[in-house]
Amino acid sequence: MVMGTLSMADPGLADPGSGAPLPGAMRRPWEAAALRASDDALTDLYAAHWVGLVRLGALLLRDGSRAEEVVQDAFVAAYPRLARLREEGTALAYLRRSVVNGCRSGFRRHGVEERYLTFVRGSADAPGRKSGDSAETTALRRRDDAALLEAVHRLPQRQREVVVLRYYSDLSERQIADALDISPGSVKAHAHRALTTLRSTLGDAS
Amino acid sequence: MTNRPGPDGFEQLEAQLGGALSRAADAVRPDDRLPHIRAAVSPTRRRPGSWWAPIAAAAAVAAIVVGAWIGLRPGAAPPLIPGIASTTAPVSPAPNTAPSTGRTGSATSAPTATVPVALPVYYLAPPGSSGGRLGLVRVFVPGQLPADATVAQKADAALAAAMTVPADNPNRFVAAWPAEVTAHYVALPAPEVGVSLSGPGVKGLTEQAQRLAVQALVWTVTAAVQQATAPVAVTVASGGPIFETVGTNVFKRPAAQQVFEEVAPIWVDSPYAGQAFAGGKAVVVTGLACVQEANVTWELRQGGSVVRQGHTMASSGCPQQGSWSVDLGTLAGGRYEFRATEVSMKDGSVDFANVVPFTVG
Repeated sequence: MVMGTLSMADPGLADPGSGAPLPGAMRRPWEAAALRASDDALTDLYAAHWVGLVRLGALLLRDGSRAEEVVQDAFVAAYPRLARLREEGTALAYLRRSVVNGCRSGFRRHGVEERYLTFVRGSADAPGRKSGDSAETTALRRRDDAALLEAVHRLPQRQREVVVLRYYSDLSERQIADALDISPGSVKAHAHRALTTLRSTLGDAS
Repeated sequence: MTNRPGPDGFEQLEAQLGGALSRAADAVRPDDRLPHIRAAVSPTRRRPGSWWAPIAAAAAVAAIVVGAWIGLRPGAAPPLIPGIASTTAPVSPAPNTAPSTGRTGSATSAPTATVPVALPVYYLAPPGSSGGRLGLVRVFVPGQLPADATVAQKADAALAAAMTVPADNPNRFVAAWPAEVTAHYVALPAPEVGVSLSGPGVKGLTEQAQRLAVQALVWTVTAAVQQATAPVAVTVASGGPIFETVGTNVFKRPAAQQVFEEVAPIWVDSPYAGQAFAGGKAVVVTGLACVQEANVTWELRQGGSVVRQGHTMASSGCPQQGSWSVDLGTLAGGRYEFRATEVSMKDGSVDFANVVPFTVG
């Protein structure tokens, strides 16, 4: 190592986030083109789906911050293939499946369920409690919403996922089957069991 | 909301479900995380190979720290990293950096947009008892950098933070550098990177402390440039050795299987010291540990009293660093201190403690 010659501007150490050359021969022309395509796809898909996917995650986890982490991880993991997925028209389905899977493991790993139940019973930042409506009818509707949402989150995991994907994301049975990697028949069965349970639960509560 | 026919007899319930889920979803207002996603997929992290894996992990944690910070402190600016002049002012060009890129500003140029960052900075932590040992602790230092900050700017910011022991940190990190001594990143032909010190370190440290104080700079600068295994040439502009027993030389991080010789037993990645959590948000403490039997003992203190305590297991025991986390749930407002310790298997004394103060509400 020669300590006396300190280069002022070694292009090999240019800012990796700026699109400047990487050290040595690590960046090939085709790699640069692929990275640009991925960057473009990321920008477009983020703009189109970030909010919706976080909201989906928040409904599954009942934890908005954790949902952001899960969706961020999904984008990061999908990044190398985002351009191809967008071209194929399958990017949203891919990301949605990643988010559902991430929420499933996140739900187990971080004790979200416990926090969710605490939150549903009265936490100020519960989804559905931020809109600021004050009319009496709205208050009653919120109470009903809270009871219904709590019942949804007491459902078995798979039923809960089917309910959220069906009645929030408005997906078809085929799309839900794809997102959950189960058969359409199973989707139908889970949905029926979930609705039966919910009706029973809400009926018992009223 | 759905227009798909559901099972017979559930029409009213389905309508209620659609409405309730939609209203709950509409109330969720996600933060903008595109910059963090971009940072996580930056080109240096996409390349095949494994040399950057530890740095990638660190950056991922940093992204989470930043994300959590943004989420918890809406509308507030992160504190400044030492050496960064202002949240909007351009970063002063550091010696030996690359002005030809045009990214470094002057005192009269227009303000540069900044983004919140959390730079991994390494400090030298003292042992908790006579049986313990000195070790490096990683701290994510939050702050602001220009959105298009160069590697040199990031490295200089991290080195500036590393040279000054945070005054409000209760861990009594070893102050190894006189206040007037500065450190700057120097671009060298790959794979080496350089650190230029304006003067030597303080006198009177133990030999081990002198060596590890230099290694703290090595870990910090290699993290900043995302080249964990890069050799680091450390020079002293005023001449002479770095410490009494450590001359200028080229240093490296130890090999993966020897990392335990330099790192402190327990790192706390989140929260950072002084972090303010919004009320009603769950507090989850995360970190890495290289401790016996992977056992991390912890206490949550408030006003000097222990309000909660427990044990958790790291994902692996020493000599490997394993990840660990403690979910404290939602805490009442107030000032807290999280204390993670390694307890001696011999006599139950505390061999090492990592203390992180934070507030809720």
